[in-house]
Amino acid sequence: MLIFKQMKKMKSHYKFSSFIILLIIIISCKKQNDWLDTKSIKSYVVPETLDDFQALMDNSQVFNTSSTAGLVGSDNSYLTDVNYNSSAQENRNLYVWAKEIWITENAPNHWDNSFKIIEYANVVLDGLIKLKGSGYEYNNVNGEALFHRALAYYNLAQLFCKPYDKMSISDLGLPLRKTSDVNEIFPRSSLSQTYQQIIQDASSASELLPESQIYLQRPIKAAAYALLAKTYLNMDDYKNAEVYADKYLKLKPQLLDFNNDQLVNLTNIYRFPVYGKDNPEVVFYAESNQFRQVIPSTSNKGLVLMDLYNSYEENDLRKIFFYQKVATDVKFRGGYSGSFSNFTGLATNEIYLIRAECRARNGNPISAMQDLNLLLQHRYKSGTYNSKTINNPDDALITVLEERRKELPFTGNIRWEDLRRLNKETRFQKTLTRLINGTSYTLIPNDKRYVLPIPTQEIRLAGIQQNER
Amino acid sequence: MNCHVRKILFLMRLTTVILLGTMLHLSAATFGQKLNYVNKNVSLEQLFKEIKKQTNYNVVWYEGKLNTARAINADFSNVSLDQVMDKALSGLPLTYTIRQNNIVIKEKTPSIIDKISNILQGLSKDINIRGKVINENNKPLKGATIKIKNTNRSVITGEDGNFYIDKVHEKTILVISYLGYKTIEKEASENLGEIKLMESLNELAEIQIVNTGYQSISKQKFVGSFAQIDNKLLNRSVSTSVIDRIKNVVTGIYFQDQDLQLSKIATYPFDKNSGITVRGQSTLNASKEPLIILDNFPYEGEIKNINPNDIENITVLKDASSASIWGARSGNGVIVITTKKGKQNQKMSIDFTSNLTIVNKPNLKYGRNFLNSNEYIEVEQFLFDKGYFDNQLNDNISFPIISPAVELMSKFKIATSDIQRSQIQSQLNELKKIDVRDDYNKYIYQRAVNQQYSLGIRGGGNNIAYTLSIGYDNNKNNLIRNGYNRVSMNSLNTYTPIKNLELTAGINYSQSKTLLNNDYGYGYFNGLGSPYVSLYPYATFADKNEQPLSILQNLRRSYVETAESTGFLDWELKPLDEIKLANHSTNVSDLLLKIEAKYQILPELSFQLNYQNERQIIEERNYHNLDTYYTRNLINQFSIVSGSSSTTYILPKGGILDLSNTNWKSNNFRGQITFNKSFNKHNIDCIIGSEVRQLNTEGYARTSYGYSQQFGSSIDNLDYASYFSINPSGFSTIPAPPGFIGGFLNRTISYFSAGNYEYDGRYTISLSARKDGANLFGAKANDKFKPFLSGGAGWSLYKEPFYKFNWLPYLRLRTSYGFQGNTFQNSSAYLTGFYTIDDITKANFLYVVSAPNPRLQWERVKNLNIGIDFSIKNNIISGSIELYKKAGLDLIQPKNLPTQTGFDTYLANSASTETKGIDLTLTSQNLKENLKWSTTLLFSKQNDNVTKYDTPYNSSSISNGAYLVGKPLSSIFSYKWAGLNPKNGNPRGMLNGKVSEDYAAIINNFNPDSLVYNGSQVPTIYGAFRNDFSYKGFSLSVNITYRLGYVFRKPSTSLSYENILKTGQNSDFTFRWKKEGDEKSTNVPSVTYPGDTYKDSFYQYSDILVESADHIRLQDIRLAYDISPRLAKKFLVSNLTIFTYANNLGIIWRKNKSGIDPSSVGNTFASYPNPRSISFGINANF
Repeated sequence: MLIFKQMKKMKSHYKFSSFIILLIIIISCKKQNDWLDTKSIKSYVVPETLDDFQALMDNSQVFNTSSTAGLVGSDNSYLTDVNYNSSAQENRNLYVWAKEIWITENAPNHWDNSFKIIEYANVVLDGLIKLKGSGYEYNNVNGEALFHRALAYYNLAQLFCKPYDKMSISDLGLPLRKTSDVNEIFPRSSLSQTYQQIIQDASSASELLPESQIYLQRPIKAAAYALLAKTYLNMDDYKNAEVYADKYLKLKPQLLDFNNDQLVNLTNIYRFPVYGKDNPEVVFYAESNQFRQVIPSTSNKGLVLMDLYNSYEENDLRKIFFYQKVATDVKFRGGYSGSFSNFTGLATNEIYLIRAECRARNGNPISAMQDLNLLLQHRYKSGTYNSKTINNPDDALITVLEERRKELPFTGNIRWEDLRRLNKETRFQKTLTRLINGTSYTLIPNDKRYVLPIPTQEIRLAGIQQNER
Repeated sequence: MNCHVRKILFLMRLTTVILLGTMLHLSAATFGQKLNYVNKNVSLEQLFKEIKKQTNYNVVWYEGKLNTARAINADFSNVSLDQVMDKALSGLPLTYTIRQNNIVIKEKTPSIIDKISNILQGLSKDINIRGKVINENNKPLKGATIKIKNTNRSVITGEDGNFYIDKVHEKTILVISYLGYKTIEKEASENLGEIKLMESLNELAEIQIVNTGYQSISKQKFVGSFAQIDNKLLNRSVSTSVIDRIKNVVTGIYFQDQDLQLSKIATYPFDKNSGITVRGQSTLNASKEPLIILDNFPYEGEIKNINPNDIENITVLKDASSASIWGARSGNGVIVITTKKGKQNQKMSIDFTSNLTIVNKPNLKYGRNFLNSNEYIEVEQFLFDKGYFDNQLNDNISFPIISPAVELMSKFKIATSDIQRSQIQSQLNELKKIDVRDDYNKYIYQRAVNQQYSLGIRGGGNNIAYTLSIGYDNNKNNLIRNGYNRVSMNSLNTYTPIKNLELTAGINYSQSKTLLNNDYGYGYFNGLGSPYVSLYPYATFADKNEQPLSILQNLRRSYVETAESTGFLDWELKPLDEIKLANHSTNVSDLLLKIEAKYQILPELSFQLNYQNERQIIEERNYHNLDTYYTRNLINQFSIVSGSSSTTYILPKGGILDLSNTNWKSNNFRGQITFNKSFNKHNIDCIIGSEVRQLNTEGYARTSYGYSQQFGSSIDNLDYASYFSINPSGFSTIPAPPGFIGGFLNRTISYFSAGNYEYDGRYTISLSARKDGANLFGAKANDKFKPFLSGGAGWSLYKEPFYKFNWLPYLRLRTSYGFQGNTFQNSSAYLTGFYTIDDITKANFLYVVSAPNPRLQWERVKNLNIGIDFSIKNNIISGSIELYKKAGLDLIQPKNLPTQTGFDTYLANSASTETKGIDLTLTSQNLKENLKWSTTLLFSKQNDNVTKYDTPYNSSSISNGAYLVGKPLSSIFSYKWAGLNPKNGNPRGMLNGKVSEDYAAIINNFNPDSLVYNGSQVPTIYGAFRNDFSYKGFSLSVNITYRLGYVFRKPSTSLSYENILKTGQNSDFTFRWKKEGDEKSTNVPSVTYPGDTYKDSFYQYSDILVESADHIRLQDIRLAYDISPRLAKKFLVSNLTIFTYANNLGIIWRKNKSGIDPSSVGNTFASYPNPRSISFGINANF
């Protein structure tokens, strides 16, 4: 009671000061939310504009790198015991097709990076829906996102799924993500769904993308055609593969003449223009993000198989531009990356070979050989190449496949993809063997180990099905 | 009886005293000598000196019979010597006689003589005394003791506090005491009236006020948990930083040992890492730093900017009730630093402090991560024989590094004659004798020397109080050419221009410079180039004539040696030259301005406005002149060499200057109303107010190529876009100067209110509420604000009428409960990224940082505290026991995502933790006489564990230190150890209950049951045991600290030869399994080639390598001497203390048998105990 009596005396003062406080609170309440609505980290950006989305995809560390895990298990190179022993464990596992491959729960450069591309592409695609724009820039960004998503799925399918087979549509594909919401987790689709998705995205991209870009790191229309041609080739759909190879070559028929010493020069350690710049054949630049240790190049450990090296004729400039002989060993240094990383992008030489193969398979050996001759004229010393004519489709096919191996020995996972693909045809089947530290390792055709294991974190958290090995 | 007669002679023939002496009137009469001496509170010793001076009489006594420190009020003007002596000895059972020129003091002969002499002198008579003893609140004290000093006679007060004693000598001294109250002495007189006794709490608790930064509350009413470090305790240790001074002197605060050599400066607020945790950690990923308050507001700058000599005391607020008023940032505890201030109407006082600390060189040979040269070369030889280096040796394109030993092996292999071979062999043998640590010790390290000076002036007049202080520190680091210096100034003035209005203005300024010239500390010289990581043990830094030698980095010696002759700049790296050439420093300047206006509207009501502006500038400057390796190497890489004469430089041939600058600006504004009122038995303290804060940091960095120190010019038109071929191989662009400007903007708006109500001095209730809004969280405005509430209660049990425990005169209970918050800076509700330049295309691209989470919010800490404060009779033992339970809620954790989402983690508020603990402080007064001895025991026990964590255990958890529900936040788990395989020396583990060597399967067995839980990685019990002794002017303080209940993982050798060159150097290599039977005497597995990553990680994380970290150490000793005031006066000071302080003295006991100091510091490669140091200092007060 006493308290209140005392308080009454001071009432006027209290009134005054509580009034002031109240005033401060009211004034500040109105402004405070605006004032607090600022970002706290100066450099942080929440991507919202077309420029932001383009910038998101200009990250070449993510969008222009891919795995060459398949190449390590392929038959174009080998390791000596000494070099095998001194290689990193993941490389050794891949080299001898071990049951377990990944050392950690994740496979950052392989599974993870491709899905990172897919997620970023989805962020862009989701963002574009909100922007509701149109026009050149909008279409370009849209096309790039679709292309990257398609290419990432293509690369994943070559490592983590069985080779495409029309006969077994139930084969497991990849989780197909078309949303950027990380809370949504998808199971594995079927392999045919996965390929359908790749074709759908790449087709849309081919309509949206422009014919040229300021960097080779950004995809162009021809790149989308290239991807479609590759995809159909992998699906044994030689008709469509030829259609898209045609479309590509209409836009980008130029080949790099190995006699042009402005662009191809032995004094360059890596022979070809750096990052594919000025190389008329490169339409989309990408490079390997790992395994430089085993892929044969300069100081690395892998050596080129002598049979392969010896299969080049003396006038074939590829023999000197692709390789370097160190004592009795041969090392690879002729990637279109022009650097110590393997080239994993898209280039015209591959497309000529795809078209040649399709033409041969589609019963058109003459035109197949035309493509091959055109390519080889740019590979041999000026005036030394004699055009070949083959009338038998099978012989033409065999010749094209031989040249394919010689032209693209260490580009991306192409050799690995070819081994998987051609195993489906008994006539082209090949058994791979390795002899390391006295132990022999064998990979028979259509072996389960042609499909890499999915990283354990993905299996554990998404609950998807692991590949049998 | 040992009659040591002590004379008082000499000394006082100086200065002022002589002047005094000349004014005296001296009489010749033997016993009629007169004395003139007026001085309050003068000791007998001083008085006797005065007698000697004025009368030439020596006063002599038997040692131990007279306490000459006894003070009397001298009021003698022309008083005869005998009267003086009577006064001096009044109340004492002593008398005196005069022999020649000596006054001899001796024990009184039995009472008859006593009486006779009294009667003869007629100076005193017996009286009857009455009086009443009351307490502060004027309540009578029943049972108080009144004792006649130096006798056994005493009485006790009755119900009404009254007492009566008859026939007492008039000049007798009475000693009045009551449990829990300060004992006082009074001269007897007929009616003493009311004698008021003041309460006495813990003797150590001299400060009776707790400052929370918002309000000051008397300890009696404070119900929260806090630890206060008073000025004396604060100055017990010697340090540059104020924070170091709370180490090991209070409970509940743990300091992670840090490397003294490192002088990290946080360029952004959230980079700070002081290593302090208050009552454990209640967060996983958010800030772990306690909030630091300087007087009123959070201090955002580098804590080292504050001069510890300006600090009056430090209060650590540990529980919700005390800390939650700080809201969203209080979750890790709050440390309130209160500066020294002048007071109105206080005489000017000047403090001067100076000290010097010498720190030993660290013991580099202590660490186990070292393989002697002999065995290291054995490893290299083994690998060489296997062809491991073949690629490197044959590589004539990139010329990779080849170690000196491998070069020799390679020469040996191709040598053609025995002479050559034996020559090479002997060169190899020379290498085997080298221990690089000797060179480190000799050329890279030195004794550190830290100097500190501080001068403070404080005082006040009628309406003004002022403080002005300056400090200077100069530290020379253990690493040659590294160091730190600081100048600080502090001024605080308070004016009272009109009645009831108090204006305060203060400026703190500090400027410091950290020298970072020596990058070559042991263990920091890494990146030699593949396959080496750390420096090989046979490296040498200087030749026999102490001339610097070069060390390999990246390139092969043959290439480096011929470089100069082929047209390059010298390409050698000589660490000792580099240390000399380096010009690298960081300057921090900090300016803090504060203004406070306080208006006392009514005696109980005041209104207060505070504003504080702090500005800190951190400037880092690293100038690599043309002679530095950094510059030469970069220029060489980009040079186009054609013959020895014509070299084209793509990078300008000049120095390179790196500058970086970070600016911090913080503005704080607070309005607050304070209400304090006592009436009858009620006491209310309340505050209500609002606060707005903004912290804005911005930083940039730049590089100037071709920089000329002389002209300040640089070459800016370089081509950063094109690729150049670089030497010896490859191509690259010129590293472009950074153009990045980064920073943070933190804004907070808070409303707060706190109230404290006390009834009758017995019951206290306390409540506090705060609402914080910040620009950190929440996509929606509604989510931005979050309230933090707390409450508490206290009960002073001993004041209850029913309280009867006389032996326990002080007993108080208190409890509190509430919520605190913690902020997490690096998160967002959206997918975020930042713009940066792509390496290849040079396009400006958006680098993605984090996955989105729209539901992110503040972390919270729930905190319950129960405390008991007590004091046993006469403070024999006093202290407090506190029990607490904290829970970290809504803790942000990186939640694993399936990688198909493009991210492997995202941040979510999904974890929680719980900490239970006990803080116990006990102080005992063991001896109270001439020799005083007190003991303080600090005991903290805390057990934390994760109660919710969403990411399950996986194969990499063990190495990443993951969290497991039900186990401590920093747990050590390991694989079960099943000994060595006797056949091949392989380590063996357990898989599904069976002994197994399937390491991949063991590691991928995610079921945590297959793991051994070894314990917590941080102490669960820690504290200190401090003994303080004082005798006369001397005081000695010895602090023993202990840390118990935790474990550590012992580093061991890598199990593959090739990894030993990388990071696996360890002395365990020596004890590896080599042949069958070795498994009986060693637990170190065999080392193989090529290695098996799984095997290696199985071994490194097996439980054979986990040991107990329990230990006790002699932390420090301080010895001080307070020079007697009389002597001090000679130096014109009123107080003078000299002291010496020794720190990091060493381990007394450790549980582990490997001789490892679990608190050793340093990087993972090199670790060592913090080196011993010794300090000397003085402290003077004018």
